[in-house]
Order: sequence, then structure tokens, then C-alpha cells
Amino acid sequence: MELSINIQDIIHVLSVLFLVYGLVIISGYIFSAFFSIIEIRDYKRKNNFQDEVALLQSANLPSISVLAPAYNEEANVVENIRSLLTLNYPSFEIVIINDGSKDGSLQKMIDTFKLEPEELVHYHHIPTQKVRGIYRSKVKAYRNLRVIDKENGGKADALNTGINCCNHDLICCIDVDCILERNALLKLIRPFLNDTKRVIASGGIIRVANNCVIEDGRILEVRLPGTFIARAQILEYFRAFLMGRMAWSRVDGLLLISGAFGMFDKETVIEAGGYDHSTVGEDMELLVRMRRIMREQNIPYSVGFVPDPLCWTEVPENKEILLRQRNRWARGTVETLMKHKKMLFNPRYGVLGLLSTPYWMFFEWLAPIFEFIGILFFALLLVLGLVNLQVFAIFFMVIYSFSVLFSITAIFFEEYSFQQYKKPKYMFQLMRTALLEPLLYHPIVMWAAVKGNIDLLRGKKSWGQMTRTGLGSTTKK
Amino acid sequence: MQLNSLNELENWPYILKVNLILSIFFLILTFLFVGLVIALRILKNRREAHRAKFDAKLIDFFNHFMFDDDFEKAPELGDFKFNHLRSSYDHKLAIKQVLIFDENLKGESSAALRELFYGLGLYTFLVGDLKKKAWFKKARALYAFSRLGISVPQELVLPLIKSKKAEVRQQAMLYFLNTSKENPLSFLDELDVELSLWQQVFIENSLVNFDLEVPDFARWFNHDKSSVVIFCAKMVVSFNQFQNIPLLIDALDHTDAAVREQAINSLKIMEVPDALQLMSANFPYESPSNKRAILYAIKKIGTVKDLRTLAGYIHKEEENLQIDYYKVASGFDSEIPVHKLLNLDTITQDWPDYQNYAQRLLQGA
Amino acid sequence: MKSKILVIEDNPMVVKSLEFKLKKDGYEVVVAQDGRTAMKLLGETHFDLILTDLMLPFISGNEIIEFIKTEYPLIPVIVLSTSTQEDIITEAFTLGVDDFITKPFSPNELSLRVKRTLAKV
Repeated sequence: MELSINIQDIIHVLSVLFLVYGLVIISGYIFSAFFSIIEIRDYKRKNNFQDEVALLQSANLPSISVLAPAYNEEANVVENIRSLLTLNYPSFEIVIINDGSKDGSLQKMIDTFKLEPEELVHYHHIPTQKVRGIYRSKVKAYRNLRVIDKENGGKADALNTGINCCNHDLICCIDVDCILERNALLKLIRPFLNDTKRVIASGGIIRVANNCVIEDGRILEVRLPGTFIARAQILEYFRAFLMGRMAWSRVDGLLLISGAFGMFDKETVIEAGGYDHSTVGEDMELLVRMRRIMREQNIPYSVGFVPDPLCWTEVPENKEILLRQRNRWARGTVETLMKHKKMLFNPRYGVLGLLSTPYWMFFEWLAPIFEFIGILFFALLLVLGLVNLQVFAIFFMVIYSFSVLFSITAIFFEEYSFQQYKKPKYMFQLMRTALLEPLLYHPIVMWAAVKGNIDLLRGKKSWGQMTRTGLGSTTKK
Repeated sequence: MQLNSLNELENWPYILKVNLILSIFFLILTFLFVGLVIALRILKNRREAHRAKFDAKLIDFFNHFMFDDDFEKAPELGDFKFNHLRSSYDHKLAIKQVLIFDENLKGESSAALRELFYGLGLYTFLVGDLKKKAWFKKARALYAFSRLGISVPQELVLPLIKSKKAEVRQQAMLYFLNTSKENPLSFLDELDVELSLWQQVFIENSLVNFDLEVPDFARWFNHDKSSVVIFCAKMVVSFNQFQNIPLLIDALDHTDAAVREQAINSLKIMEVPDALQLMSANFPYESPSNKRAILYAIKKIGTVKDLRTLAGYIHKEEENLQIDYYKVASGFDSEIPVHKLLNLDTITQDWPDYQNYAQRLLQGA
Repeated sequence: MKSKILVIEDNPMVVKSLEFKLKKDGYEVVVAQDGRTAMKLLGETHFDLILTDLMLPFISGNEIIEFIKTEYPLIPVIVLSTSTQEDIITEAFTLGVDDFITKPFSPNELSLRVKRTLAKV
């Protein structure tokens, strides 16, 4: 009796906490929905009547270096490069960084594009693994292509090598297996052209390419993936990009530009020291560091965000791969937050300190952990036979209905903005996915995030050992 | 104890009630959004179907109007206007199509296009938009007028150049640029904000494509805003204004490093070796990126001798600059043996990076 | 017999206008919206002239020109492009194109140039 009353007290306190937390989440949701819809509307209004043709003709447009790291990509690398070479932009180079692949990627590129070694001269802006060779094609049609062959050092190290070896002041970092729209560079560079302040980066929306009809590196028809796990990720991407990042961009609090597709001012990247290869979340960490440095030096700057569907990528349809990916994302988030914990709640960093970093801490890092603890607690109550079915049903309903509402709103945003899934069938499938996702998919990613935290804690103990095994082992796709 | 549980009982429903209300609220919102999604989908589909059909009709009509000599222009215009051009969306589509045609065709077809533009009442429609309150309608109308180079009464546009919305201001600027008969860039005189790169590109594009009178860019070399001066330094190159080379040389001493950089690059492209003397004299005090620019200017318009005079001013820790020096040096096709050219034994012996590269080069690696 | 022209261009408006104008001039016109289709068509039928854009989906214009000039060296090629940059134009001529028309173009001028190029062969 004594025990059960104490537990009742705890339950009461927890319920109130639950409510407060819920209210915070709801306000976060309203905040992002509101700002994002304004941002999308303004973007559409600004851009629906003008086009980029004027830009294409100018010889005074800044040149862009497209950096694409490749690790064991033999199967597709040639096709991917071919489609990169047909991007619409007056002046750009494609720099493929072969990060010590163990397959025949390099030879395949050399043969197809008739590459010949160039002199090994390059800058040392950022320290990297050794460069083994720089190749360039003598064929005119491929004159924009350059291939860097280096010793394996991971994605961050490969990108840093690309920064050292490329020619232009703007760099566009992409995953080599991404599918880019032809006007992707023209669209992504717009923030750099429009702002008279220093623009340090601009990012785009990532779209899910699974099951789309793709030919020669172009999306011919957008289709909904056949598997539930991929469809659930589509909803996730809608929520993260159309609602989340659009809203963050509106209030100038964007912290993450996806590593699969982002443009950066090279000088600022170099000033910041390039990609950090000690974290698995190098893309997030770089932007946070760049923004932090700008803020600390009081340089007015801006970060752009382009909502057009420009970059398509394959998402994991295999549960194991998904678990690994989310595990890595969770570790990347925590590592970045830890490295920049000084910014948390620090008014000196403005929106970043007071809104963005706390948001990342509570929603991206701690939310899955709280949730997990909540489930454990619930399991305990269940074992003790203290669960009141009616109470449980109501709590469950509020969480569930909120999750579904969140996803449905995201679908609405997609319909309102770009409407890529044209068939009515797709729309209903997505809605059905929204109903099932909180029950069947969400637990998987939550567990991956929790596991990521556990791995990180364990990893920290053996930190010394890890550094001795060398950087090569950290390479992940 | 009894009291406690009574309290509990009283408290329970309150939490539950709030949760219940929230759930219902979420559910209603969910249904609302589902409804919105479906409505939006139906609306967009209808529009899309209409657009595809209407675009084809427009293109067909425009082609007949422009290239078919047997086409009865006046009656067909009236017929099309009254039978097909109904909603404001139709008007927007027609304007878009006119712009696409205009972008791709020139010569006699542009005159025919303008005839179409007035004949279909698109002018009246856009002037109406210009008078409306919404900023994006104003911006859109200005955009169409400036693209087509069609003038509207001054009093409609003049106030817009001071609009609070940057987008409207920008479009108004472009409108004046594309429609003014003389001195299209006079708005630069009054400009009190920096020119964005996009504006620079757009202005250049208009100058190239609209047969505007190209002004003498000397007029803005003393402008307060660096971006304007940079723009002028670029345009001196684009339009081969050789008479302004002395101004470019003066700009090598400008207070803003970005202006100096553009001056260096412009002089390089215009191949003015006389400027090298001043560049070399400034070299030791220049910013890192300008030092680099100077080396590459020498590569294009200078000699090995020019290059060697600078070697002594490159410091041990300026590794990247040493690499540039190396790249430039090895680019000279010279009679002098490479190691002499590179000054291996004397000046550059302190440059660790450079030594590496030079050695590799000498070994033929 | 009518001369057969292959138009490689992806802008629907330009395609329609070229089709309209060239058909009026008495040519037979076949349209390929992208480079791949163009290569397929070239393998199937004979063409007397090719009119191509440089910015195309799948395969760049330069690659197509190289392909045509090696596989079908006798077919004249006219480029229709938005590029006004000198190096791009020079490069096209180095690859062996017979004429270069910049957009915006005048349809009457284009029809004259097509006529002249065909007369040369």
C-alpha cells in the first residue's frame, strides 16, 4: 500500500512533466509550421516568375568546384560522373576524391574518361592524408573533371583534400551517388548572389530516390517506394526539411546543411579549419563551427536555404543499415553539441545559442532518451500491475494523434509547395504510412538513437585505443 | 492517507481531461489537414491540366501569328482574347509564354510579340497588377515590363524604387535599366546600398542583350559603395573600355581589398603589362588573396624577371603562396634551366613546401 | 525530295517554333528532346542536317557533336545555344560544327542559315 501510493505520486509528477514537455513540443510544432509556411510562400512568390537563364549567360558568375568523395563506388561512379558533367552552369569543375578505394574505381575512371596524371601540386590549407595522384582528362568533353587519388582517411578527410586541390572559391559538397537536378547549382548559388552580406553556406532539401524511375542519372518519374520503411523515411524527410529546416532558415537558426548536398564559401571553411574527421557528424559540425566563428568575430553573415527539390538520394530499406545510419546521426549530434556546448543558452550566439542549440539538445538528442526511459518505466508499472488501462489509453491517444497530425501537416506542406508525388494513390499511401509510422517505424529510429548514445559512452572509455587504430577504420558510407 | 488518495482522485481527471481535450483537438486538426491536402490536390490537378492545354494553345497561336503569312491577325487576336483568355491565371500563363518566346527569339519576331502583348490585353492586365497592393504582384509586373522593355507611365514606377520590399526595389531598378532610352545606369548615382552579385549579373545581361547604350563606367569609379566600383571594373573588361585603364590602375590603391583584387584581375584580362610595376610595388603589403592574384597576373602578362623580384617577399610561412609561385614559375616556357628559374639555392631555400615540389620537379617525378 | 532535319532541343517552345518554321520552309523535321534519343534516331534514319542545343539532358551537346562528327562526318551540324561566351563558341567550331546561332535567335535568319548550310553540302 505504502509503495503503491508513492508510485502514484511519482506518476502524478511525471504526468505533469509529460504535459509540460508535450506543450513545449506542441509550441515547437506550431512555431515550425508557422515560420515554414511563411518561408515557403515567400520563396514561391519570389521565384515563380523569374528564371535563371540570365544567370547562365554571364561570364561573371562565380565558378564552383563540386567535390564528391568516392569510396568503393566502382559499380556506379562512371555513370554518376557522367550525369554530374551535364549540370547546367556556366563555369564549374567536378572534383572526385577517390578515398583509397579498394576496388577498381580509379582504374575505371581513368579508362572511361581518358585521364592522365597531372603535377602533384596542391595547397595545404587543411592537413590531410597523402595525395597519391591528381588526374585530368585530355578529352575536351570531360575537361571539367578532375580526379584526386588519396590514401584512405574517411569522408571528412576526403572533402578536406578536395578543398586543398580545387580551383574555385565556392565549393559544393555532394555524395557521389546523389542525383542532382540539372539546375541544382544555379538554384543553390542564388543565396550567394542575392545577399550583400558574406554568405558562408547554402543548403538544399534532400529527397528520397528509392523506386523513382532513373535514367542516366536523371529522375524521370517520381514514385513512392514500395517498402514501408522507405515511405516512413519520406515522411521523416518532409518533416525535417519542409517543416524543420524551412522554419529554422526563416529565423536564421539553421544548424545543419546535409552532407549530401551543400554549398560553402571556401575561404570561410578554410578559416574554420575544414571538416573535422574526429566526429561522425562532420556536416553538422562544420556549419556550427563556421557560424560560431563568424559570430565570435562579429562578421555579419548569412546562411541560405533552397527548398526546391534538387538532390535525390537512396535511403536504406534494410533495417540493419537504417539502424547503423541513425546510430551514427545520433552520435554526430551529441559530438557536435558537446564540442560546442559553450554555445548552449549563451545569448552571445543569438538565435543559435538561445533557440537552435537548445532545440537540438532537447528534441534531437534527449527526446529519444526520455522516450526510452518512459517506455522502461511503463514496462515496470506493467510488471507491477499498476497500469490503469483507461489512463494508458488516453496518454497513448494524445501521443499518437499528435504524431499523426505532425506527419499529415508535413504532407500538406509537400502538397502546398512542390507536390512531387503526383499520383493520387501515392497521397493515400503516404497518409496510411503516417498512421502506421508512429507504431512500426518510430520505435526503430528511437532505439537506434539510444544505442548511438550508449555506443558513444562506451567508445569514450576506449578513446585512446581508437586513435591508435588509425583513421582508416572510421570510413563509412 | 485517505485524504491523499482523495486528492489523487480529484487530480487524476484533470490531467486526463486535458489530455483528452488535446487528443480530440489533434484529431480534428488531422482531419482538417487531410481535407486540405485532398482539396489542394484536386485544385492543383485541375490547374495543371488546364495549363498544359492552354500552353499548347498559346504556343500554337503565337506561332501562327508570327510565322504564318496567311493568318488574319486582327480578327484572330480578338477571337483568342474573348474566347480563351478568361481568368487572371490565363493572363499569367499568356504573359509567361510571351516572356519565353521573347527570351528565345529576336529580330522581326520580337516586334510581332509586342503586337501580341498589347493585342491580348496583357499590358492592361499588368498595369492593373502594378497598382495592386501585394508586393509580389508589383514585382512580377515590373519584371515582365523590364524583360520586354515596355514603358509604363513614370508615376506608376517611380515610387517603387524606394519600396520597403527588396524584391520590388530590385525589379524597379531593372525596369529603369531596361526601359530608359538614355543613360540606363543613372540609378547607380543615387544607390546607397551595395549591389548584389545577382544585380550585377542582371545589369550586365541587360546591357548585352537589349542593345542599350553602354555607359562610360568611369563615372562610378569613385562611388561610395565598393560593389559598384567592383562592378565597373568588371564592365570595363566586358565592354573593352580601354580608355578607363588608368582608372583601373588607380584602383590598385583603393582602400578596399576586394576592389583591388578586381582591379588586378581586370588588368590581367585586359593585358596591361604597365600595371605590373604598381602591383609588384604593392605586393608586400597586399592581402593573401591579392598576392595570389598578382602572381597569376604575372603569369599572364609578365615575365620570369617580374616573378623573381617578388620571391624575396614571400615568407617562409606563406606555404600556399609558395605553391602559387611554383605553379606560375613552372608555367613559364623559358630557356633558363628550371632550378635557376626557381632560385633554389638562394631566396627560396627557406620555403619547406616549395623545396619539396621543386625537388620532385627536378627529379622528373 | 524534302531535306530531313534533326532538331535536338529540350525547350518545348523552341521546339514548336522551329518545327513550325522549318516545316513551313518545306523541310521534314524530326525532334529529339535529349541526346540519347538523338543518337538512337541517327542510327535509324538518314538526316541532311542537325540542329542542336548545347545544354541537354543525359548527354552534353559537345559529346553529341563529337559523336556525330566521328560517326556521321558528312551531316552538317548547326548549334543553337544561349552561350555567348567566346570559349564555348570556339570549342564548338573546333569540334567541327558548321554554324553557331545564339539564342535569342531570329527565325528568319535561322531559316536562311539552314538553307545556306544545306546548299553547301
